Amino acid sequence: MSMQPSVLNLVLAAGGDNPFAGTIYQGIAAAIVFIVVLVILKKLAWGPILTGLQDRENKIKTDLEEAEKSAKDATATLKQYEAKLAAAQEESRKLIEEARGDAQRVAAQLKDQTQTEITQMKDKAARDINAAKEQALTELYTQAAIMSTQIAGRILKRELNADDQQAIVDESLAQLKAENN
Amino acid sequence: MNLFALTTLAAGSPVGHVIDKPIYGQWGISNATVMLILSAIVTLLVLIPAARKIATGKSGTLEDLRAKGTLANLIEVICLYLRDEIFKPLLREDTDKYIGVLWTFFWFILINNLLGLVPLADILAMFKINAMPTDHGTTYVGIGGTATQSIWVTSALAIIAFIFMNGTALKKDFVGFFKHLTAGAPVFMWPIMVPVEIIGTFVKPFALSLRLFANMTGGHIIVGTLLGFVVSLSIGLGGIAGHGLALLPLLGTIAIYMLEVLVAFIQAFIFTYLTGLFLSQLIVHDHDHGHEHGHDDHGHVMNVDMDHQAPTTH
Repeated sequence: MSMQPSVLNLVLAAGGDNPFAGTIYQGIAAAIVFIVVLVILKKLAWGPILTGLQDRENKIKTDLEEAEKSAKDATATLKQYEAKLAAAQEESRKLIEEARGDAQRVAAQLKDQTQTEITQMKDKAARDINAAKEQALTELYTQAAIMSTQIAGRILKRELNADDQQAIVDESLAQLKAENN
Repeated sequence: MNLFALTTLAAGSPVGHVIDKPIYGQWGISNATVMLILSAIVTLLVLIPAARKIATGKSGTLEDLRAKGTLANLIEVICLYLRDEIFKPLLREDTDKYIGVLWTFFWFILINNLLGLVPLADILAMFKINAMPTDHGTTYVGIGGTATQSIWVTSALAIIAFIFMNGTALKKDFVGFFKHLTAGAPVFMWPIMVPVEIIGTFVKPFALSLRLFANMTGGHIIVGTLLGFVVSLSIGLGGIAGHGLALLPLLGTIAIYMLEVLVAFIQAFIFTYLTGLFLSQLIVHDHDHGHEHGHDDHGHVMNVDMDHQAPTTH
């Protein structure tokens, strides 16, 4: 082959080369090298890699499961709180209604009581007035009788003793009362 | 002498540049062997430290579950994708049992493919390191080339995949493995189905080895050919026209090189994926696939073929 190969030379030269070049030794070498590589890699590479991948998968799996469980728990708790809140609202509504009812009842009671007291006070006042009136009238009559008897005594020029005077006064008062009634 | 001239001269032809070569004329150890060992070292050096950073830490915090570092994250993303997105739908609860072998197939083939794209032979030859004579009178070195380009290497990997798939299936369900050979067909179809299934069992690894070999060889030959055009035009034609025209195959080479990086990943994936797929066909029994395992009234394990309702006790 010359130092300046032509295309023709290259093509012609190619015809002489066997692409299947080699012997069984190359095959044996390949098998031995491959098996050695396989054994070493299985021990030093594939084991750690596989464990690493599996550990990560397990971690992701457990994390996902935990997240799902947490979400379920959260939903359950939320429902529980919502139920509690609803119950509390219901209870407060009842309490308010009850309080309102009580207030109305107390107010009505107070009103009645006040009314009663007022009526009683009015009655008592009326009674007091009547009593005072009667007393005043009695005193008036008494004084009027005394004065009348004194005037009459003078007119008659007759001395009336104390007992006669009292008897006349009492008689007059009884007469007066009888007339009033 | 420039790099391109060396590239072509080192090989003598595009195919010659790509194929495996014996070191010191003995096939006992060749470029492929050296590259296999180099790839193995790189694979271990990349994956073991990364695995330590992906493994669960011991600090007791959430940080323990995080992969630390760019490389560790990159490797974790790929491993996780293969495990969760690709193999879990196929292998289901058995995924973690077999994923180690599948990951090894992927990373080992990928690093072999990628290292094959590094022009190690050419770089070393440029500096005249470890240069040796060949039949073509040019030079090459023991380091360089693509191990997964050798049909012997890909066949060995496919045979390991074959043993892995069938060995696992036999260990898991010995009788079920042979039942699979009937493909659930009625008895009168067995003379056709059984030979077809047996052929299929062997065709699968054969296809695996041939696919990887052909893809690695084909792409590299295109790169070699395009680089040959670059050398031919720039040296053979010479001048402004020669060098100017040489730019076209050079751009083509860059484009194909990019494609080859993609192919390196795709082929590593395809080999691994098909191994996992074939394994799943052997060990995962779908309900609609026709097998249900249960216990009969006498406590014997039963294998009921739903297709033709023929329960067999074993």
